[in-house]
Amino acid sequence: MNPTAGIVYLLDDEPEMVKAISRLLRAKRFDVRGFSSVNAFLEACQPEGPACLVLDVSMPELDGLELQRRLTRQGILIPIVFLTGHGDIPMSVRAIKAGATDFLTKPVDAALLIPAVSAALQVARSRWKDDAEVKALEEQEAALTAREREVMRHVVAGELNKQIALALGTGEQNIKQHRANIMKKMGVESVADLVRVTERLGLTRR
Amino acid sequence: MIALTHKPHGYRILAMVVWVTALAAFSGSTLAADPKRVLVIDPYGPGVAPFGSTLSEFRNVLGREYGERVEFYDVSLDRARFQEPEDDEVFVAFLRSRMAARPVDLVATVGGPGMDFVVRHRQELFPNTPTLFIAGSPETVHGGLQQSNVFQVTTTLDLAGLVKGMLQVLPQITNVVVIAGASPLEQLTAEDCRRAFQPLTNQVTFTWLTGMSLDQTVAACSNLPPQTCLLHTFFLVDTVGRPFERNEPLRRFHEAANAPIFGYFESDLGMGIVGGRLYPDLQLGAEAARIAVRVLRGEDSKSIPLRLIDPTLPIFDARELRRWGIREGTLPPGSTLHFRQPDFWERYRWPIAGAATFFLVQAALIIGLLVNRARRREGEAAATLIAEISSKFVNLPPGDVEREIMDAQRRICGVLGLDLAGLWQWSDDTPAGLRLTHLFRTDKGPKPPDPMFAQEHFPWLEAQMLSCRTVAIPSIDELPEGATRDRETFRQFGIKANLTIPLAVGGESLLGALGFNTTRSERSWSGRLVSRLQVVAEIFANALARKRGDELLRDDEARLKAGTELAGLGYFEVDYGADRCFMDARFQQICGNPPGFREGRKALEFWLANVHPNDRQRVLDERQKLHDGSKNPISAEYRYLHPIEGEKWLDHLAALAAHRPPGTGVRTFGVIRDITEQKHARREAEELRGNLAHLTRVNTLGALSGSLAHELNQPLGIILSNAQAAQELLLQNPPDLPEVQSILADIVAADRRAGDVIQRLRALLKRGETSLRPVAMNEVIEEVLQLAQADLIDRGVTVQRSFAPDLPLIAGDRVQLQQLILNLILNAAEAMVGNPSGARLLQVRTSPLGSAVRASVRDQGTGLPPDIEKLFQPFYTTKSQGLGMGLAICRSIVSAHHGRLWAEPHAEGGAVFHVELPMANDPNAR
Repeated sequence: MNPTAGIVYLLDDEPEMVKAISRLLRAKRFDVRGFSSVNAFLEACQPEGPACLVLDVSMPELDGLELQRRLTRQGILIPIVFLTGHGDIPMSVRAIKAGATDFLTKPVDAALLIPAVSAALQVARSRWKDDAEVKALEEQEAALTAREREVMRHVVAGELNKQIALALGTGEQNIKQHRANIMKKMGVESVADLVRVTERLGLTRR
Repeated sequence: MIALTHKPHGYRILAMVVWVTALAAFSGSTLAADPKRVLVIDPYGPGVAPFGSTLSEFRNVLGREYGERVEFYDVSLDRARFQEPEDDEVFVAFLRSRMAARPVDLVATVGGPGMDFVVRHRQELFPNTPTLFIAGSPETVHGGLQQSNVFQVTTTLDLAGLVKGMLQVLPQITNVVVIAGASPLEQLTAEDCRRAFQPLTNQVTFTWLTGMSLDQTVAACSNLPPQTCLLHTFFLVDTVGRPFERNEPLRRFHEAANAPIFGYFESDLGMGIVGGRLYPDLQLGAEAARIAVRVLRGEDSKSIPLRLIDPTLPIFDARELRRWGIREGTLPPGSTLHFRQPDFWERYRWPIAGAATFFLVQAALIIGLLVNRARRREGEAAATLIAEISSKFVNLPPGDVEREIMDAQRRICGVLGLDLAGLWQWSDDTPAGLRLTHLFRTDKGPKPPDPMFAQEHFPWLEAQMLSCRTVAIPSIDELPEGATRDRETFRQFGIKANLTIPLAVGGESLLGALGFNTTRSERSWSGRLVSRLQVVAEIFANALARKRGDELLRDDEARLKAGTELAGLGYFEVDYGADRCFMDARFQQICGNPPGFREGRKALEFWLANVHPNDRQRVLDERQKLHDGSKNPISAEYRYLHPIEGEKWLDHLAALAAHRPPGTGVRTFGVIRDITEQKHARREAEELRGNLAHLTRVNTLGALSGSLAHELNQPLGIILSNAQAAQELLLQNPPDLPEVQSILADIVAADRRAGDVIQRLRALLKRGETSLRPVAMNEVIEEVLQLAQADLIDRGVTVQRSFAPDLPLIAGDRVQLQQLILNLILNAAEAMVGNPSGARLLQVRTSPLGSAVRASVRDQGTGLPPDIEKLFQPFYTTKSQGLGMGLAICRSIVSAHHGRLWAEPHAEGGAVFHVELPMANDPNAR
């Protein structure tokens, strides 16, 4: 995949800075969207594909970290590259812990910025892919009936058909039938794969 | 007959009037009754005493009392000289013819011889005519003529009694000289006397001066031995028979005699005799006349018995009494004094009264003048004394006042005759009141106690003095009821009268009192005396007040001196008008005046010459303010070149002298102080402060490193990114040159921005001195907020601005103010570190406040410690890192701006820091 594929969102309260970094990134063939206002950014941030965010941490309007949390809550899980005028260690640690991809100090040299952005986009892409996959799975899962979902739970728990039938108060045959449907719907051929799929689903669902 | 001729009417009337009158007159003379005729037979001749006076009295009284006309026919038998009875015939013949022609109504005769004659010849001459015998012995009459129509009035005379009377009046008489003339009658009388005086010859000796000529007799009279008196009987004729004028002999005797003369007859009194019970010759005549009146009116002898007259009551001539020193007391009782002063008095009553009055008036005037003179003399003496005292007290040195007061009191006592004088002075010690300080007394007496307080001994007097009332007590018994204690004290000191005058200047508080007393006698204090002494009291009061003022002044001066010495001040006074100046020892020391330059103009010039040339004009300008009349003191700090010690800094304070007589020049006074050390110390302190300020600025900036870094990093970052972008673009084929151009432009701008930040940084870091210029507080705060923005964001602090529009400019140093606000803002942010995010609000507000501008920084932090002031002290810090100088420096900055900085807790939590700074052009801001 194109390392520059994906949108790079740029948010800095200083328009000049936005302008300068945008130029740089664009020169490096990134698809940059620059904002100097948080609200403007939030409105525009509806990524259809992988995207990352280059974010100035110390903005008067909104604490950068706060923004990160807000995005997360909104389900916009895009990787963030933090920029800061200070070289404060505690802050950077906090940012990383909160899931920042990178933490750079201004003035930021292109040699540092470009790889960071690329990495972020990579993460974004993979996440995107992951997301896409997960989405497909989710759709499959959604196709299951309630009964099937119930059965799947037991199957995944490693129980035998007999046991499941007993637990659910139905015949074994039914269980076998369900099993087959589940396998089909879920697009897997082995119980092990099913487990993996459910795990994936379970991972992304809370 | 008056012919009646035909005359005009008026004339006719006149004629008739005249006719009638003549007729009346004629009728009067013819129709009236014939006057009575009285024949007076005078045996001795006219004027012969005594009968001369008897007869004349007889005639006068008869004429007066009878009322109608009486004609007198006088016949004198002249028997005094001629004693021959043969001569009778002549007279008889004469009388007969006379009787025939005109019969008489009454015959009067007097004396023995007369009676004899009438007795003898009555029958033939006038047998039926009433006959009146005056004097003579009764026997003769009744014996001789027992007939009707005979009347008699006579008297008896006791000759011996006469002499006895003389002796009674003059007991010391041992010798009586009897005078008689030479005529037969007189001889006869002498004989009678001799006989009568016989029984008295054992008491007195009688000497007889008879038979001599008048001259001889007079001579004899003038040479009489002492204790002699004269008895004058008759002296009618002298030896050659010459009759004397009536009373001439007596007069001459009276003139010549050196002894008192007694006489015989009532009519002699007043002629020179002393007096006594005298022969009433005048009364005889008067009584005879009265009888004659009755006879002429028709009474007969049956109704008019013999009339016997006593000798006179003792009568005396007061003049003779006085002449011979005979006292009235020796006169017999019932005596009458004649010719005494009343005579004189009657005659000269009005002149005498007038003269007496005149003399009285004169005397009164003289006395008045004398008294006046005496009083005036006394008054003059007193006035002179007062004038002397007054002039002496004018220029009296205060130290001499009390002594001179006592001396003056002594003199006053001397001039006015007083005995005791005291000076009381008011004392504020306990007990407060009048205290006797000086006492003068002329006599010995009990000593007053020491100390003597009026409160204890003269409470009532003291009360009067406190009401500023002069008290004049003529007698201590007249003191009122409430002054019993005072009276006791007066008695104790033997004082009889007292005058006490309060001493107060202008009716203000009592300074003392003057007391004047007498011990010898009471004294009425005349109004004039009191007012004189009050003048004296005024003089004393003024002197005492001046003395007290002087003492106070002396005290004040001493204090001032002590004070200036203590403070190391040099004191000076300059009298520009009189070209005089005074510089005290300390001043000389500070300025180093050499000899010859310590007084007057020279001293002044010396000082001015040594003032540093750069400061001289300033000093002169300040001095000029005083010359222009400024009431405010001037002050100046300047460098002074001491000739030996070199350059010094002096602090100089001067003012105009308060009380200046008009017309005199400028007078100033003041102090100087050597502040060289202080100046250096101050300078050092300033340096230190500057250092410290710098240090903290640096420190603060250290704390700002985050912000600073940010401020710089921003432009740097922009530059870097832009430059790298440009590098990329230039690699493209074709390069986007317009884009590169705009990139470069942005780079330049960013660079400039960085440059600005550096500049500001340098300014902040630069060590500067406070220069106050008009500054807009809002701008300053905004700049600081910009500067600190990154930091604040880092700390998650939200800033809320509330700036007053049209805030007046303040007088301030921009850099320092920025430091101040920065400090406050950083402190506020720091305080809120523990707050949850979203609860970190920093509020900045500015507002005008009267003549100042207030800026407030409020946080929601941990608030203030209980002792708020501690915050502002150096080395107070809650941070583990930091000097703790921040707020101390802030305070120092604010005070350099003549403002205020303080902190308050906020009701809703947190703290507010207020800064108040004066407006530019505020008189407080210099």
